[in-house]
Amino acid sequence: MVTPIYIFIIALGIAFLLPLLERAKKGAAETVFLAALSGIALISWHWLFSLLTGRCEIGEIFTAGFRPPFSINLRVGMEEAVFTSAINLATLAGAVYLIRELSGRGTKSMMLYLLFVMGMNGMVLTRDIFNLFVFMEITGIASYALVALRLDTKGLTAGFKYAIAGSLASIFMLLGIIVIYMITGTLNIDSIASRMVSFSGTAAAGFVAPAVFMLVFAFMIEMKQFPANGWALDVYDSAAPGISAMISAGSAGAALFAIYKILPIAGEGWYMAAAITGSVTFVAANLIGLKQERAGRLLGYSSIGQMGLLLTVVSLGLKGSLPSWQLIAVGLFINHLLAKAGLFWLTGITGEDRIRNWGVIARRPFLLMMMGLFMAALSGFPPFPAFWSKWTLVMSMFSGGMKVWVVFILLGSLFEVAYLFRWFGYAVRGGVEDGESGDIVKGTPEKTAVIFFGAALLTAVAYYMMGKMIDNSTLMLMPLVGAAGLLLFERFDPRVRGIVSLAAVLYYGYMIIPGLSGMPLFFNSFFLGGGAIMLLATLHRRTASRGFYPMLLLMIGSLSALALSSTSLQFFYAWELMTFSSYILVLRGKKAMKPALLYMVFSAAGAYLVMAGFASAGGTVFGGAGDGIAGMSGSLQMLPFILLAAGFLVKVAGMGLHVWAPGAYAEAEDDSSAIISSILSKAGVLGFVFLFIKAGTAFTGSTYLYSTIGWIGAITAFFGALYAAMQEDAKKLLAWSSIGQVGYMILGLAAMNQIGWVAALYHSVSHFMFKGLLFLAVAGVVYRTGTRNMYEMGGLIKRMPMSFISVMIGIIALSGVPPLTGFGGKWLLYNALIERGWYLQAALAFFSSTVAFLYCFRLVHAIFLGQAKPAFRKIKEAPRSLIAAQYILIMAIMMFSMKPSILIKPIMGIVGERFDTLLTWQANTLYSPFGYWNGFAVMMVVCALFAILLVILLLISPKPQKVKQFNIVFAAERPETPETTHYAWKFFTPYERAFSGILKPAATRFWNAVGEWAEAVAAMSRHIYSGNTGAYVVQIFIFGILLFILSRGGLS
Amino acid sequence: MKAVLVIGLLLMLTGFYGLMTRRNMIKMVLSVAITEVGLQMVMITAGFIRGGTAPILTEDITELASFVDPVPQALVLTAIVIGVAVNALMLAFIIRMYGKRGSLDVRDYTDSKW
Repeated sequence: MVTPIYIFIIALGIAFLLPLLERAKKGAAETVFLAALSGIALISWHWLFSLLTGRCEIGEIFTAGFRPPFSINLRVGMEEAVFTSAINLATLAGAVYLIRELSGRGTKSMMLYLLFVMGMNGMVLTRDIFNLFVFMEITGIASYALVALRLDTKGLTAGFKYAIAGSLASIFMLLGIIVIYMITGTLNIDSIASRMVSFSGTAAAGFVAPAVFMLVFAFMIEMKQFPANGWALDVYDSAAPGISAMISAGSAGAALFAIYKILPIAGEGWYMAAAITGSVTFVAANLIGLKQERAGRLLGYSSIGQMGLLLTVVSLGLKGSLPSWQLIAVGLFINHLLAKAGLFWLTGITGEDRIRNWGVIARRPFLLMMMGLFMAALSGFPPFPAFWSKWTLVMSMFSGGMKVWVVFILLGSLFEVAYLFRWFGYAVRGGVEDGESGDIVKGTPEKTAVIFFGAALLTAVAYYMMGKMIDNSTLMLMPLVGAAGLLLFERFDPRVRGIVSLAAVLYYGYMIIPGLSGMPLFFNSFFLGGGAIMLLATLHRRTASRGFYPMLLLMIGSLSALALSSTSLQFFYAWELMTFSSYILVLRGKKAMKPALLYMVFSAAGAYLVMAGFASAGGTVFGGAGDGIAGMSGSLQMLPFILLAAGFLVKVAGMGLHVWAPGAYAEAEDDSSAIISSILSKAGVLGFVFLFIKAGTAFTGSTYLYSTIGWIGAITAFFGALYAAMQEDAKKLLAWSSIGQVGYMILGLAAMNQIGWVAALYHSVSHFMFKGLLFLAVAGVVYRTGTRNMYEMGGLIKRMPMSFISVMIGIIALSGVPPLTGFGGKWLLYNALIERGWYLQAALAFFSSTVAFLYCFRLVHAIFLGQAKPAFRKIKEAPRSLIAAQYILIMAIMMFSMKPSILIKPIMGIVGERFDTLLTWQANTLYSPFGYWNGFAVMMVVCALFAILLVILLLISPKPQKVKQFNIVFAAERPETPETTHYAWKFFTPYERAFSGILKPAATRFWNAVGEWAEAVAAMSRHIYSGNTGAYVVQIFIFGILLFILSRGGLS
Repeated sequence: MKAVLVIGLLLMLTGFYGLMTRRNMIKMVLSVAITEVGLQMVMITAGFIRGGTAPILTEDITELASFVDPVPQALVLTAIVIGVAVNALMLAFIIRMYGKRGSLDVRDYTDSKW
């Protein structure tokens, strides 16, 4: 093995040689500089590889010919190898990224960089506490200078602040070190730790606590803990992004490793204090980050937050409260290292600091994709390392009884998601404010390559961790593989991409569905079949639509994985994958920036509830895999039930938690809206199905909980319908209607009897068909008219008869009147509710479906009837692929309406023996305890009635006279503008007035207030970072006092 | 030797006070320097032995116990060097900053904040 001493020899030797080399041959310095960094990196990688494969033992390197404690020693164990390898990799990539800037500043800057790298390696490797101090100072001095490298006022100020803070830290560190040396007589970290114990009770013991305090205090400053971290924010903010990347990724990691070595010296009493400090920093930094408008500083807040989280993990791990904490810490660290560096690098390429102007990056799809990838990684989305770490962290914390910690960590993560995706929203949708839209971001090839390299590495680590963590990782990987494979087709015509996606979904379904049974079979057929039909509808796209198909495929695939999951981790993995992909789909809508952010924040909050629910359920395996869940196990208790149900209620947009849904459903691209509201909304239904199966009805409080969920379902159905009736925007109308319809399904499931479940599942399919149909029809209309406001349409029946028929069929099915599928759903639902004794809920559900007539009528009347607007007199029927998909759905609706048994019988089989059998079939008639239903007969009766009425009308009415469209006369006066004779604006004003009392958007106001409060707190708190170095010094001392108080509490 | 320790600690406190109250950047650096001097005085007291000798092995040394501890002295030397380097760097920053904005008041350099 190469002794790690060579790391220092190479760094120092080359650093001194560089000026000479540059004199000997111009341009040689860069090559040698990069070669030196590669050499350093190779040494650490060699150690890592050998240790991983077991080819060598842990390396103990002694210097000066003596054994410790008489000399300084270095150690290369697994942890050291991982950290140095990661740091050297990042710094090597960072050097490539910075090479032009560094060489532009001359060899001095490269010397500094080498010293910086050497210092960090030393901090990780050394086992001597004073040596640790020296390496810390070397790293520090090099970073002060690198921060000020550009010699601008901002950078110089930041360098000065950094140096002042660093000096304070080193003063306290030295004081601590010298007292510890006086007490223990050694500087060797391992010996100190063992000797410290023997001093309890002696005279020296009085000095131990202050010495340890000063040591920890110094490292806490280096770790940038709240509130002693204003200087660090200014550093991230002011340095060149390439340098900030290295400080955030590299030196923060080295500082973390240092404190990991120091904490055992400090002793057990300090673990808790350090963990609390870390969590406070994590929450505070992310909260304050909410108000941040500048990219560099935003990343600074995020970096500091991540350091706090890592400190918490390491301290709790050392305390022994977190099993497998090493895995958590390494996952979080590598994730932070690569993703944070990647985002800093991107900031350097765009050269744009205000996040509002990040629209500049949207013209470079590759860079945008990289940004999305880093964002996903940083926010802990699968399959990236932080996802696995956070999962393990929350699981272990819950099993260790640390529930309050979980709350804070999830809260901090939520803040982080909010500001990161706010930024990403600007990048995708923001455009450019100052009219500099002509600028196209240009990255030099080596910078772009470095970013790609970082992303690739992150993906590789993700793949490795995934293989270790999740059962059946190949199956779980399929959605990602599909999406990645589709990226290869990005340069092809959109229709080719669409057909390839369609083929992929069909093939995947063909491979997977025959082997399934039960709920997985139902939901997989539903998601994949529905997805295929919706994919067909997207084929009319002519525009570039970059990234649309990969994300769509990812979403369909993750829904399928969700239905296939057999463990809670698999479920949560698929759930998060689905959240991310659908977020991107929503964000693709033109005005979707804010709705998409709202969707992301609510989804993340819901997902955290789900995660906490799984954690609190402990080892309960959660999932729908085939026979594994036959029968009610009753294994869930109240807390997990409430958490999981709350998480799923967010997804189904239950009243109160629904504020994200209208915007997200309506503002997505038109064909995405159809997919999201008809298919994706069923993911929450699936969640409830799995939850109720697992929970059963036997646990304490179950009666109240189910009844609460039932009521929420009924109220959601009512308000969804009511709000839908008041919309002017056709897509908003359908969005509200979808919210209401899902409410019926939840109501049916919560009834917990056979009829209710059959009703819910049947209605899921039925809702998919008619809502998909309506959304696609409206998509066609919007595509042709270019507006979504219904009052601007009218009279389109002549121009778009096919779409008219679709909408007609759709609303008949939706409104739940015979003979179409909606009727069956409602009939079953009322039966279920009466059987359960939920009469009031049944009444409310019935009233809601009456309200639904209002908006159904509106849809037909405002869009298709009345006088056509002049502008739309010559528009064409909707594109063919949209129509084709609609008519497939119509055929399905007709088939299921005529013969409901082909749908209901399998559903009854799937619901199975879980409940007492209430429904029975006799031939084509379905019998419930309260009545019977024959779909075919109903259809025949209705058709006959209509036929008879038509005949009577034809007979009794006089000979009809054909009237041209504008041949109309009002009170003997011809209107000048006939199109105004069809009024559609504020159509239901009387009802609106009647309901005005309950139409107040209370939930929206409540959540707005929550958001405003969070922002106000952030806005207030961030003023402590005044930019004044003097104030920062005072804050460092205040932090010292707080830490002292905390440690006394922790020690006692 | 106690006197050195006390003076050292007092100097450190003086330095901290100066660092918190001064707004002139050069005075802030001087405060850091004063603190460091105090710290260095505290450090050298650590290895001190009254009537001891320098820790150099020669022929006529009979009692090793009279050696003062060399380690704190080595540490102090290193600390001095590092302290001087950082202070010099800070002063270099200040010169550049003064050149750009013509002010030594730290409150004039709060461009990046919040």
